[in-house]
Amino acid sequence: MKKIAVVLLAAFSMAAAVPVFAVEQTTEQKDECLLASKDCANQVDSIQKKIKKLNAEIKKGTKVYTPEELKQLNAKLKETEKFLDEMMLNP
Amino acid sequence: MKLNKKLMVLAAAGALTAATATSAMAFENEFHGFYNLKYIVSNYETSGFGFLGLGQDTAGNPRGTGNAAGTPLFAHKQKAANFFDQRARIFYTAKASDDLKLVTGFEIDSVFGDKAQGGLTNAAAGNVAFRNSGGALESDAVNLETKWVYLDFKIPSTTTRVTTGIQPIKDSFKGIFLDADIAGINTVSTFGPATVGIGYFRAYDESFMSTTTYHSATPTNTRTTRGIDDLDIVAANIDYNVNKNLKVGAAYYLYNDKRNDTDNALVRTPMTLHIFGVNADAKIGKLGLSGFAAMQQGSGHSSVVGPNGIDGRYTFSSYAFNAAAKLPVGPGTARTAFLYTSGDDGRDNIDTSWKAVTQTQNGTIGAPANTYNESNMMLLNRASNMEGTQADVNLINSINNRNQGTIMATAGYDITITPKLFTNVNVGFAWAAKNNAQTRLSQGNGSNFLGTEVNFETGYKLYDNLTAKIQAAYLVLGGYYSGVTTDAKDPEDPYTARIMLSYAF
Repeated sequence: MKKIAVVLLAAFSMAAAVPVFAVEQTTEQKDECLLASKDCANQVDSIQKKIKKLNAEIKKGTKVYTPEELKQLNAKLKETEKFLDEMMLNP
Repeated sequence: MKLNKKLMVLAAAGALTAATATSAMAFENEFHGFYNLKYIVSNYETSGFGFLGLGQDTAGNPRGTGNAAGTPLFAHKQKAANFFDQRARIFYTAKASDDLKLVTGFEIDSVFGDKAQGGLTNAAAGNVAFRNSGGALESDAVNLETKWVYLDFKIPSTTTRVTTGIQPIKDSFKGIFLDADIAGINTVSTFGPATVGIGYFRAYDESFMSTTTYHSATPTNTRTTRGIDDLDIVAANIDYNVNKNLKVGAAYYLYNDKRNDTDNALVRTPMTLHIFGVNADAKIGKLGLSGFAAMQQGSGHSSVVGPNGIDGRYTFSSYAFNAAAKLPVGPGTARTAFLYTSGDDGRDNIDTSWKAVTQTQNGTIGAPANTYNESNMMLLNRASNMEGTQADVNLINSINNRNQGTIMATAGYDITITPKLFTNVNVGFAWAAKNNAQTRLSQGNGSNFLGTEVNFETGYKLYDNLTAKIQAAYLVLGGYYSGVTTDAKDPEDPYTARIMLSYAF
């Protein structure tokens, strides 16, 4: 019983640790952090990097994202660019 | 042994709960911001705001109304000032999800060597915390300004986003009526190709905070109930994407100033203005076009007897037009823009000057709350894209141009020389739309031509987020300013040269 519990604990600890390492996306993967603020782990992006990443994800197109998701990413890009404008240009 | 087993199971359950909670609590803490440092050499610029060359309002100089202290007066020979002006803005967003977040923004402005540790010049007696301070020896100033605090959320099962609190709002007319931080409730909804915005903003509630100065004309009228002496602004606009190359829009604003009379020709309250307008944004091949047409209608009342000597009742009727074009030419992009806002002759109680929002706390005219960035001018008008710190002194500091209106034609060229090096050059011409009997500077020669500005900006990206820039502008003053110095001479032409560091993240 003790052994089982230890194995279980180890398994759960691993499960908790997994999202921390799941940061880099390959070309065929969705970026859930950009898309839905999920699995963001400890990412801290500058606003310029965020815009670059959003553009890169949008470029992946329908191979990776559904049309609805692409719309979502485009809306996020627009929102981020608006924020940058307001941040810099607001008098 | 039994207890150990139970503990193990509990620990396992606890670990599971923690693991589940981690992904459920996907709470994002976003930090963004920028830091700008400018070293400025200029004969008329200061680290404050104001109409260039008009000084500050005093008994002997009523033309400087609304200008910050220290704004220089036009002079035949004007000594150059040099100063370091820095601005930092920090934005923290607490994001529960894409549909729910709290946005906050803070600002710290300082001029090197200017004020520290409280209780120094320009601060009210005994006031140890004041903005724009901390640049003098040993700093230690309480100088953090709160710029934005608003909640941004989507109403579930709808496309409506709501923002409540102190937030940035820019009008649908490129900022020439309102471009400011303002407290209110705003909604933006999308219906297919249409985006509809409706908002209510309360710029001032003077019922509670007004000082004796404000109510001095009618001391018995001092109220302590909130929501009576307000400046309310209602905004409604719609944008419609006809196709990917054409967007059209319409907007309505209500500017309802219910505050008591203020004794100034530039602020007449109570005042109700209705602002209507249409705008469009189009792409024809590589050519980008945009523009708007807007009108203001309304009425107001002032305790000051009108110019015709009858009474203080006013009607307002004014117009504004804009057209702009952008086209890739050679290795860069050419730009041109034209703006017209109507002016008033100041001779009767029909005020035909385009009204642009200006700070008027306690009935005192302050800094402008409108911009026109499309000009890319540094000295001719208030274009916040060419500023970035506190320095905010221009010939046309508010687009109302002291009731004279504005006619402005500008052109420019942007070029990215290498991925890290860019430059832009600009030229602009401006006129007062109307020779106003009350606020004009030039009494004799009748010219409305304000001047010609040529400027350039060159930037080099030291890092992705850090850019070093050089900006310079020279403004050749027009006939409007002939002989307007105190000794009746022509004023020295304004110039500015700036070295700038800009870090954004």
